[in-house]
Amino acid sequence: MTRLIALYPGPWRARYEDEFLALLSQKPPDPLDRIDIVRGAIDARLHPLAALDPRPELPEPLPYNGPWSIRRAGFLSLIGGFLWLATIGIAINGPIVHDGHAYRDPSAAIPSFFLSVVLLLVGLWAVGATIPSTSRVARTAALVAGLAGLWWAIAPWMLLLAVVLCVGLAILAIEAARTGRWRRSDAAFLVSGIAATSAVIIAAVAGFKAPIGELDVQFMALAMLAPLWFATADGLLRPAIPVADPGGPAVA
Amino acid sequence: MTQGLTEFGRFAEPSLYILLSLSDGPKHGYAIMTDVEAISGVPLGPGTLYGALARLEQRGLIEALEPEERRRPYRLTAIGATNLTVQLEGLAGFARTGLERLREAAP
Repeated sequence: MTRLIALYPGPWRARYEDEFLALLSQKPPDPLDRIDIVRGAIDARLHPLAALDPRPELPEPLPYNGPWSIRRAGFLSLIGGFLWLATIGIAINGPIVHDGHAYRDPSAAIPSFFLSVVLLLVGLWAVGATIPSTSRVARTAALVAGLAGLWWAIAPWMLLLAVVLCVGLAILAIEAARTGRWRRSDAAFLVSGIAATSAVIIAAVAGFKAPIGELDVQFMALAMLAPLWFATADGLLRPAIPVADPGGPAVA
Repeated sequence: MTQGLTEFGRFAEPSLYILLSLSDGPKHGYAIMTDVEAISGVPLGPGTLYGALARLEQRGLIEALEPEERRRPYRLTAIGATNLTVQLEGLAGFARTGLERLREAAP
């Protein structure tokens, strides 16, 4: 008999198993009853009752004391993402300069580059302010990434700073998803952007020819970082749990 | 026939029988089974009984009492009594209408 009851889901058994067994000890089941028990178990698995299988309680809305409202920070990140794509567009259309060797001069894109990175840092700051205070590693990563990002905004040729920014943001996004603040899809999107960028850079270093020309590979790789902005914006505009946001309406 | 419990699917009719069975006082699972068979003439399987009990309890139409040894009695709640009353009145109206029509149609 216990084999039949084992067909029921755990929460159901925790609640009803004892009395169910007591009932079956009073009226031993005939073959039709056994079929009925199997049907009941299938139904209990297909239609779990909320009272028996309560979803884990979500944490309380997070206090947020940042200087920006969460939604505003999300919109700024979103704008930053489009600006980043525009920056790549401007850079990839820069003049080719022959100075010993040929290279594309992206200096016209520097102002928009600076602005888009700063807008990403606004989002990063807001995400860092909404993760739990116990997430010390992620908060430290956000701080280091923020400082590296600020430095990179004024020195775009220092790609090591971009690496630090990406790693810090990835740690922050994973922590935001782990603690239920972000949807996992947002964190996965952000990390996939970093992975795609890394793959293009590794392929270029390994000597693979890019379909858009050797001079523009670096810009193609940088364009693939756009998920940093868009995932951050989505994580802020559509958080997985509400955020107490004094500067704007509570968002869910 | 079981309008108030249509969301229970195949458990709607057994649920009505269970509500009716509990209308004269708390009962545990085995007592409900035998009572329902006596009321309806149809045996109630243990899987169906507990599928219906779980739904009725979740809807707040019945409530579980403290177990007596391993058997747990259930009793009708105020909401359950109201729901049963509404359903029985609906059935009474249905039966009345049917009987009147049959009388009118009789030669």
